[in-house]
Amino acid sequence: MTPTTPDEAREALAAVDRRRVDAVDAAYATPWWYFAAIGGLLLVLGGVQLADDWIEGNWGETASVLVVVGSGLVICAGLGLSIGLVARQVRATPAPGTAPTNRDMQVLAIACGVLVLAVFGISWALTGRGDHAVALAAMALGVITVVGGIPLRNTLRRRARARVRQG
Amino acid sequence: MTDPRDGFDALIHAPTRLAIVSLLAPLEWAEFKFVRDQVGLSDSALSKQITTLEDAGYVAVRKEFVGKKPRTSVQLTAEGRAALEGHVAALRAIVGGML
Repeated sequence: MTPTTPDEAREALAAVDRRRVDAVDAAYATPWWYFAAIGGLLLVLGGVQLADDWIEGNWGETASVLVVVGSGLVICAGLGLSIGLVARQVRATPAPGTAPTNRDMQVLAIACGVLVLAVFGISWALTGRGDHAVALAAMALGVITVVGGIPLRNTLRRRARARVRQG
Repeated sequence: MTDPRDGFDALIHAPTRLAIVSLLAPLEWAEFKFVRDQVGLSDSALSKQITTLEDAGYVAVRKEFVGKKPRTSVQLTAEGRAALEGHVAALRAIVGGML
């Protein structure tokens, strides 16, 4: 066999790097509509909760119960459908070495938790109503999901790329 | 002291096989169709390469049903990962030798 020349070796290394990055990009390819769907459903959930008094006052108690239960069912179905569709589209899963670390996920969960709790606390203090505070906190989580979903995915992708290149 | 060039692996140095193992390296599992699309091979050509790598113990193949549809997934084994790492070290040594 002819020995590999340095130029060939360099090309091969570049090919290895390119393929690894392609793999990472495919593993972190959650579509924008997933975040939009989850965030949208949380916004609807909060919106229905906030509008509950108005619905009850104008349309009666039965209508209010029907709207709350109906929207709850639609939201659960929507969440299940979105998660199922994305799970079906997954064609590559990241290896433990490239997946986000527990620390990454803990920091993310704490940051989201603090933000949602802050919205809940402020809303409760201002309105004096726990149900409205819960609704506003759900809506805040919805906005975070819609606005932050893709940037978060891209951050995880960038970090995974860096890990792959280091390894 | 061992020479990193000793890790040079002729089996995975072939461009197509190198592309497959590099693609699988950062992944836990990858669908056969995904590998096919990324590497740009026909089903039969990829199947042949996967069989070669499987025979060498470098990849594992998993077949399952998702609903009624069959799904084939491929994974780089620990042996395959070690072979790729050794090969990359050998390539780096070859490139370094030029400097």
